[in-house]
Amino acid sequence: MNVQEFKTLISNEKFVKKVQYILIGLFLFVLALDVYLALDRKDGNTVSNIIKDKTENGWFIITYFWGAVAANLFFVRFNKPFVNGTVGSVIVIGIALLIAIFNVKSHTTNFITSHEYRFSVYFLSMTFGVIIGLLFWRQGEAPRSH
Amino acid sequence: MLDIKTVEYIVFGIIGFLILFNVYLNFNKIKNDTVNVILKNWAYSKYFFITFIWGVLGGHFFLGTRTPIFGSNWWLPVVLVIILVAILVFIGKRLAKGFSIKRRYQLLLLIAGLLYGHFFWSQRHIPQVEFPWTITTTIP
Repeated sequence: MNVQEFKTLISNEKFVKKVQYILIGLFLFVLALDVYLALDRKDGNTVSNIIKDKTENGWFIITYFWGAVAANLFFVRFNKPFVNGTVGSVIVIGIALLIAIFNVKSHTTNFITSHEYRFSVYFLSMTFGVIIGLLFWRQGEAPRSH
Repeated sequence: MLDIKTVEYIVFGIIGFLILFNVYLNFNKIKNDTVNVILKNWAYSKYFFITFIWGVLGGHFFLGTRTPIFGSNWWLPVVLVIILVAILVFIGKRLAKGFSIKRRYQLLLLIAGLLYGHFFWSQRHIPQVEFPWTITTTIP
């Protein structure tokens, strides 16, 4: 490793640190906002309420992405991917667009709402997201040390 | 006080920002700096509580039982999840520097989180259920 390479490595690490601070900052902001929203006098305006309402109004894209992102972040692959990363991303986002365009909710409501386990439709779309994520959208192996 | 529409704009604004930011990070010159890579590295090292939180939020946002196990104490599951995460962070902090968690434990953490969010921190609880331990006795 020559001096130039070493310098780039250091500046890269500094940049990654900055991105990490942005992420932590955003997370703390949302946390503080949600605590405020939960304790203020208005009901039903917390982040949880909003995501729940959106999901119940047919945004299956949220549950789908919950699953796909979970597969992406937490289930690394040890073998070679059978599609490359870019193609995988295009497939994952393409399916999301199909879910949005074809308004899957309207096809499921009548079938599911009368059922006792009403939530199962959300569980199904979460699982579907996980499966698509596992197939097309996993990251490479986790580094052994950092 | 913020109304529901404003919070909607804030929440989806943040998600939109993260997506655009991630696209930028993906195509800039620096490798391994995307949000996905950073979160994966965290979740596989000592901050594996992220996996648990992801599961809890999934159960909390999208699933949820109708029977409130804790009665009307809506704050109890929140306090409990803070304690659980604190314990996970504490365990993570004590682990050796190069520690990397196994993939099957990620599955365990995710499912444990989902079950917690589903059974204990549900948003779909029916308001009033009388349990033997929640019945309030009125003095005649």
